[in-house]
Amino acid sequence: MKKSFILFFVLVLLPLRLPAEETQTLDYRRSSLYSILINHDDQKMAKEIGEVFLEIPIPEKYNNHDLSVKILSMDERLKDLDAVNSFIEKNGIASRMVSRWFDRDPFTGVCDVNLVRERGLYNASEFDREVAANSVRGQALLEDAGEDLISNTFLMVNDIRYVDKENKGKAAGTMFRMLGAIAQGVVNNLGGTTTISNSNSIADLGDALGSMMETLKGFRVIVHTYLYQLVWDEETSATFYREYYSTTADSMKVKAFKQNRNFFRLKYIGSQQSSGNIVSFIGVNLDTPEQMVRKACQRAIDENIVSLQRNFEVFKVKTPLLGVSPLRADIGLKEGLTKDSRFEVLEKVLKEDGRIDYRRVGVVKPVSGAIWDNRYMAKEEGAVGADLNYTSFEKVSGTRDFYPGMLIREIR
Amino acid sequence: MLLALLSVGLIEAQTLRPDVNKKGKYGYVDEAGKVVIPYKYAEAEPFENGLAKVRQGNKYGFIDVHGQPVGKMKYSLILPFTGDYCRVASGGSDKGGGLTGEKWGVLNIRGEEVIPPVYDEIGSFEQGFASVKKGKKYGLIDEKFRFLLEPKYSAFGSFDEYGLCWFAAGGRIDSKTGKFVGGKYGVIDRFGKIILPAKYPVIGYFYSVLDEYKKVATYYNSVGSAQFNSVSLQRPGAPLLNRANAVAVSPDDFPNEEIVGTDSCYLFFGRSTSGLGLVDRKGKVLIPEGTFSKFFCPTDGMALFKNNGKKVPSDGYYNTETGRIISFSSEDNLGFFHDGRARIKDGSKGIYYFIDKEGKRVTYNDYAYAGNFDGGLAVVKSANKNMFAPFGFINTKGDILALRYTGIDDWSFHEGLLGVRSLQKKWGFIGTDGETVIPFEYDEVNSFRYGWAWVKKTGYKWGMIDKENQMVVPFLFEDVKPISEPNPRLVWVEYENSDKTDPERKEKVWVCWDCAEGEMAFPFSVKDAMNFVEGMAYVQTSTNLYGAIDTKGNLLIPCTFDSWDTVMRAASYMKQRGLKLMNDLECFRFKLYGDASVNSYRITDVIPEAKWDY
Repeated sequence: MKKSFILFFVLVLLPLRLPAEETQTLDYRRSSLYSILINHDDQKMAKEIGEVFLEIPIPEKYNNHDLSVKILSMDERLKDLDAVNSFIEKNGIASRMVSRWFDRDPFTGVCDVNLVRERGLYNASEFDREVAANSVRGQALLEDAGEDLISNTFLMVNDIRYVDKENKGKAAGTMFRMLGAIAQGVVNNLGGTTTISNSNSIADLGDALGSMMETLKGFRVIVHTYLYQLVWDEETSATFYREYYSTTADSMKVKAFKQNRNFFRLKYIGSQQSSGNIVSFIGVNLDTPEQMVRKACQRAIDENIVSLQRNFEVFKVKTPLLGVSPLRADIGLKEGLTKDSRFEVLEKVLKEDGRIDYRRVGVVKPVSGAIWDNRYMAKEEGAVGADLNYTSFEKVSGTRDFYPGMLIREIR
Repeated sequence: MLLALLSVGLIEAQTLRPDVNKKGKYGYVDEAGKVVIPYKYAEAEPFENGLAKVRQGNKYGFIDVHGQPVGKMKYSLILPFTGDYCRVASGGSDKGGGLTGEKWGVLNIRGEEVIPPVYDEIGSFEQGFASVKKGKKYGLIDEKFRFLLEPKYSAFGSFDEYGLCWFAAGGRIDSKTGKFVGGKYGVIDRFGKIILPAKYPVIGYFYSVLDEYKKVATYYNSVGSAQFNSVSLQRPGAPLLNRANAVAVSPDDFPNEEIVGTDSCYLFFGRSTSGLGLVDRKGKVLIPEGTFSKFFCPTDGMALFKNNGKKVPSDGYYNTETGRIISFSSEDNLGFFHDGRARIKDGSKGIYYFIDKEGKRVTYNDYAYAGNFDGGLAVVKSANKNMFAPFGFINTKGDILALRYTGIDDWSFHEGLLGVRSLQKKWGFIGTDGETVIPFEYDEVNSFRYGWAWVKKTGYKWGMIDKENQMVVPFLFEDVKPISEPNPRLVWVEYENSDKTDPERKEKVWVCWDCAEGEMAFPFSVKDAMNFVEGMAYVQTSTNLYGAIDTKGNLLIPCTFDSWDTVMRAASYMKQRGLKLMNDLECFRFKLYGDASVNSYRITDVIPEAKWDY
């Protein structure tokens, strides 16, 4: 009797096999980012820098809010912001960033809210219904979208300068010209489509790259990044919806929008200059020399983004927890993580009127030795931690359990 | 009792969680918050598979649910488990820039060292294998942590689709070019069998150019193939077989990867490209090094070779099974063996004949030309200039099965049929038995493809028939586009259109024929078109603009593009973005994204509206 009782007890208490925790890509609201390059054609490497900049993607933690124009040239140093501000104003950049939110047809003025709905992760049919009906709830949804989404749209202007060093290894230049003769054409990536650039092939690039090889050992760039935020306050949004938003072709609204582009504004937030560290070329395949340029540029830009996030609250990103055993998220050294970083854990709260709010439920920190090295080309470099695929965290505070989908955001 | 204890253990592992006390020390508590494992660790992670990683001092190790150490608490770093194993580092020091000087090993999920921490690096597993580095040398382990290759080698490739991986002794990375040079290469298979030891500067697969039927049109010999393989051998981590190498090295021969052919049965090897040897997939040497100046991939076990200079014989075949050589002079033109037969052109007489693998001639007649054997048959043309009907075909014994036609459509059967012209100058199709399958009632024919052939009927124009000689597209058209799938519903046909303003002036246009309905699919014509694929066809207008339509003739991509290439890229863009069709605005934006001039402006410019997508 006793034996069978124990057996029964054991059988009852044997735990069910818990389902494997799914690691999935969780959707969450991101800020939106448009990134521009100021390229100095008075300097070496200008062509190479321009070409690789087009390949550097908007960081995955942001929505891609790029416009068609990505590169601007100047043949002197950028001394102050006047030239940038003047460009923004003369070309109505803020109005174009607003247009992108509403997929505005520049020829007919027709707009829609599909992107708002998609990036806002709203229930599609409910959103469409309420907005179309112009109901109170619909208004609230649009206000929520405005506060949490459209106002979190940024312009990043990257001023990249190549830092020249003494010429070394001239013989290498000849080798490079030979490599140039057998390589393929340069590829641009725009809007997700790969197109063959109308510019020179690497065969022609060979000569320019030969000179780059001559200065290989001293190669570095300094990037000065200027950050602007789209102004989307009550007045701006009300005016837009009233004067310019249209679901049907409206030539009057098209004309009005063109004439009043400067009603929309970008607000300057701040800037950051990269450290200008020399980037090693371990792991770079020198048959694709643009990799060297890209590695240097991308690391510098990523470094600036991290600093801007740390210094300016509005630019901080939220990242979802992918799992809880261990606690993990797909951020790492690229986002500037160290063992001393601290992150607040946020729970998304859906309010009755449909707005979304975030509530802190705890604090976590990276596990030392388990920080993912996700910097560009870290794997090729053989960097420690490059193949972790996520950073593990441990709880510092919080009275309740965390679950996948909760967001974390760095705190000081 | 043991079962009870185990079950309790299982329960606890899943309910224990790390907890920290006021002194900053970690332990484990249960769901009720009761301390199960005391607070004595500097770090503690949740349990996984019954083990938890903890740190004491500056050393990491594992404990079980009772707090007992599993293995030693001696590691400087323990990486997360990947499947059933984790990598661990021992020793080294961290001066703020990360661990340096450490040694790596592997623990299984029981915390046992399956590879002791004595290696400088252990790579992550890819395709079931990982590299291991000791000093400057690399080795290879499989997922059971068995060494396939001890860490004695300078570089590795990766396993290719044929299951082979190259490895190299000696050699170095050229710091200027980043390429691996000076190595001696070998090849290993997935089971750890060394096909070639690491002794040879030149190794590789044979490459070839494929025709539209995926048959070999052009073979590269050992010397020519070596250039494609060398591209991979200069890049550690690259697979030996890489069709992209052929496209990069010879873009004229290989405009795309689809026509790159390779052979997985043989590998060449040697100290230099002149005098390479041949092994099979088991590593058996079939042709020793230095035997021939160059040779081709064996077909039917026979390798066609050529020798340079005064080396004799100058040309011939090497039987890889028997070692026997069949010699020919350099004036003869030698074909590749198919169905046990090779076609030879006698250089002095200019006639063709066939031989077997012993070198014995199997055909007794002379031929002006012959196709290769395929399916046991070869299409031939008699060299007898007095013959009015010199075309026919023979079998591998050399027997003439038919030699009574005045013309042939091609030098091989397609889908079991050959288009032939009779003495009465009419075309039909015969089968491989020589019997008439499609009667001789056509003025012209083309080969069967996907079960249909386009033919020109006497008294009519072009149309299409099936293998039963049933009309599938009426004989009304100037031309018919070859189909690219079996039984298509829609086929493009060329039609002569009279100009309404000038009836004498005729214009050829393409229209879409609905084979099921027996009528035009839609009422408009185009200047040119491609076949429908997944419901979309690219079209060219009379104004030389390109777009795409669906099977109802509706525009999917407006005809605003300047080439086939750009409209195809627009289609890829459309697919990428999940769009069902592109409107004018989307086309405008897409073109803008490919317009390099968009990024040619200065910061002082007011950029024209036409360059902005929004």
